Amino acid sequence: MEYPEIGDGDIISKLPEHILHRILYFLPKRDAAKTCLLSKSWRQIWSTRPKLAFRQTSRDRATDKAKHVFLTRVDNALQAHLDHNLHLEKLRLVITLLDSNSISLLEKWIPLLDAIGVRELYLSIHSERKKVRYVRLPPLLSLHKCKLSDQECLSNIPLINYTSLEVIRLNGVSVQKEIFDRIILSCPKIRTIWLKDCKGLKKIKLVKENHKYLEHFTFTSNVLYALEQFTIEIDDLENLETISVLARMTRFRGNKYDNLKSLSLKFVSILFDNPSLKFPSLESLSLKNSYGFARIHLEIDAPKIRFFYYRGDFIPSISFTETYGHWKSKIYIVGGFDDALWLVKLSQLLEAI
Amino acid sequence: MAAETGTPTTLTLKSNDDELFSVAESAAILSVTIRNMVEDGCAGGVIPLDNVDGKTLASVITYMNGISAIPADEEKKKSYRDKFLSDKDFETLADMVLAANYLNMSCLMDAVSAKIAQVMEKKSVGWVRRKFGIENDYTPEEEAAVKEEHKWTFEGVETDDDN
Repeated sequence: MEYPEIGDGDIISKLPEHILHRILYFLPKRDAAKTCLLSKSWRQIWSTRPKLAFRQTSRDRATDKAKHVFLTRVDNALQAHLDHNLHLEKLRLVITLLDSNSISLLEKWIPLLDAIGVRELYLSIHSERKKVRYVRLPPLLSLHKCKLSDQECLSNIPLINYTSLEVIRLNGVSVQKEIFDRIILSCPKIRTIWLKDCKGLKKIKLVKENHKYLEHFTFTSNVLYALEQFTIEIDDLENLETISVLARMTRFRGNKYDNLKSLSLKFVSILFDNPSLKFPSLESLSLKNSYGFARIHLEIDAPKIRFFYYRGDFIPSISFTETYGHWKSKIYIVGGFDDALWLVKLSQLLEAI
Repeated sequence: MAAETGTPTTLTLKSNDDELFSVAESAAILSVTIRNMVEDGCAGGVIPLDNVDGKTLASVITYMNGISAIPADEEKKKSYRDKFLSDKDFETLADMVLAANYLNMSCLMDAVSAKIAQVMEKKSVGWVRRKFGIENDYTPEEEAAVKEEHKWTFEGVETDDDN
């Protein structure tokens, strides 16, 4: 794109402030902040753009004074949005909780987010000391996207009644079972559920009545917690496009998953309520070191399949009904040849694919 | 309503320099401003758009028609927007963002704003001033003071990319 040098026709500075806010919204923080140097009229504009991002660096927590300066900076910025009735769309806050002062400030800020209309929240809490720190998060009605991560698994996140929530990503968060059930049941618009290394969960049930719009479900956990009793149950949700589960027992309650494009299960104990499965949209199926279907015959109707991956210590009995187009398979059998019929089973599998 | 007669309803839009444009109602209601007029029953005759000139309105209508022809597929819509904006100069973009604002079309407003932001990204203050013809009215002392005040934002590898 060629831009003619504009002499005295400074068009951009004459745009209304809320349009300039929109432009600055799409810039990384440094570039947005630098605009304060352009001219006097630009000096304050960036600081009230509808996006705020704060990261407490090691320098920001090196001394008591540095900690105080950082917390005050966040506090002032949020307060300014509230006082001047300015809309804030996205907030990203990476903070280290060191003392009761920072926790009480965080607990003061969170309710403000509703008042200033925050739709996307990325909150990353680090804890330096190995002490349990609880942070209470009240319901935020305006929130559309929420990502919480906590390096030490220390915060207890009771989120309830997030009626607008579409995306939830929890990383290393410790959640009480009752609270998680409420989250799962009180977000009628949820499209993405992404959970990694979360503690305290016992069961996730994805059911038609509550998860009509769910498109993506991902559950991963590090092996340390894999021994916890935990089950996932998945209905045949009509909008579900991707399922990815690592190391948890998963039960498929339906037999026709209309929109499912990708199914990936690793170290999963799988339970199929119905061994005849219909995946009219499925393109990729990956079963790695999973079990629970060694003694049943699976009949998979996935006409659009492009890729099938199997790795395990037994030869599964799977057949595919008619497919169109070329598709690739990768099969790795590790051991399992003590079965007298292994050759027969293998040839049946190879024939099926 | 269109559904009852079976033929698509057409609206007539008038720019502030008195050019007339016909556009399908289904495409025009991408503008919340126009949609409200239609819903209030004010769209019977000609809809005057006092803040948009003919050249910009023609371009906005091209966009309305193009984007409404694409079914619900965010990726295709995005690539249409990118292509649509790729050959526009800054003056046109500024007119379009003002029109999108007046017409209350958030998708066009966001696309144009992001496009303008793209030009400013990773550029020096001097470069941005020259590109957009912004006159620096700071004295060197004032500029140094503002720089000092914002020191914390210029240092380090701060990003706000949240993916």
